[in-house]
Amino acid sequence: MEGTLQTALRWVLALLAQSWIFHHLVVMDGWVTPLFHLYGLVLLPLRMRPVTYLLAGGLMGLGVDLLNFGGGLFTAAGLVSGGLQPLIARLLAPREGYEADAEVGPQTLGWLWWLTYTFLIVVVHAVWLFALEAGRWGLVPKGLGQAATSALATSALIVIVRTLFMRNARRR
Amino acid sequence: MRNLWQLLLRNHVFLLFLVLQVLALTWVTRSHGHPRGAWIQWSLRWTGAWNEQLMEVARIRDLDEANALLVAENAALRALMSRGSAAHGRGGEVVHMTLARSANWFMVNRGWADSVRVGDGVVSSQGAVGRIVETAEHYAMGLPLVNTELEWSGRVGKAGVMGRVVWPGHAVRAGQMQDIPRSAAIAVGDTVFTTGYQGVFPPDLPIGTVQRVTQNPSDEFLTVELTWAVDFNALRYVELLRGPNWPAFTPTEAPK
Repeated sequence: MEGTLQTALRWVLALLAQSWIFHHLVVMDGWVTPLFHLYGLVLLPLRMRPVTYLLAGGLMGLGVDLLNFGGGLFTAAGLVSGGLQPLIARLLAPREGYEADAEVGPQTLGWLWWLTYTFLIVVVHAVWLFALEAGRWGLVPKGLGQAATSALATSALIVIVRTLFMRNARRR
Repeated sequence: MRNLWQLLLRNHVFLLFLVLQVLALTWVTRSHGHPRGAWIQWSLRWTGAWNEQLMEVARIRDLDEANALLVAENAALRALMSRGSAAHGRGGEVVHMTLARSANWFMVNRGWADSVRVGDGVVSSQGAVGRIVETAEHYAMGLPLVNTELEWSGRVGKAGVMGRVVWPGHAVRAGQMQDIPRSAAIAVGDTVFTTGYQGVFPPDLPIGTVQRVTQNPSDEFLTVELTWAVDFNALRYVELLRGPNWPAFTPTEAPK
């Protein structure tokens, strides 16, 4: 129960942080666009039902769209990353599968797993978002470039924030 | 029938994904250019106040007051100038602007309570900025020149050749003027002005400066690369203009 509450709270805080803070921190003409709301999706527990990931991603995108005039772009991208999240987790699963209480992060599954898992979810989201946003074929290559650089920046941001929270939790 | 039901049950997540994705894409298609819908009023009200608070953080008090006075003075002077119409202006501040998207937009801290209406032109001391497309009580949303879905009417020099001004969507500072006949005499450094035909801007406001002129190999027209007169990265204080005698503005989409 505590875990569910914590996950829900993290989901809401990530949405608000993206809409109120990170949305304003777009730099280099959009080549670095933080998508911090994905923090709330990447850290969802590993063994939930696929439909829960889909709805969590879609609702997260809907929230960002409503608060930041996204016009459906974040909803569409959130549905794609939420829909693919169970597949990505299955693709990266250890041979014996995930433990029932496996926490998403480097402490239980290793840094390589954590970095790959985070980057794949973020890059899927970013590619769909920027490709749709381009609006015309001629601008799609630029959009894909922006997706790549923004995915790298967002992944780094998520990893840094997660590491900071892990250290604080250990101290307590 | 039973098999069909089982097939649907087995793939219910994928089917739900398809349905929701189609709904989201419909929303994207309908709102490309600028967000539309009843929720805009709600969102403008809530995010406008927050954006203004964020702007407060970056505000340098003395400069702010000096700029506000200058904007008010500019607005008054512009209203007095003879432009062949009864254009009048109100000062405002851009509290949020996107420049990373192809369909960019901005928000100003003036709304219908300040007599701002849909279709009003937005200008800065440097030149043409964009037009208002949505209004709430104290905030309004506008579309800038740097929006790939729009096109504007421009003229090279005050009596020169006219053409369509668009934003190709690559660099924020670079615009483009199209449909210029090959016979037109255009030199690098020439200024492109508004024509006043769309009813958004008064005529003769600077839009940009010619950077490069190229001949289209496929037709008889020139393409003129521009640098916008307005530095959108630093845009903050604006005026909102309305000319009641100008013809109604109807946006036209740039060719895909």
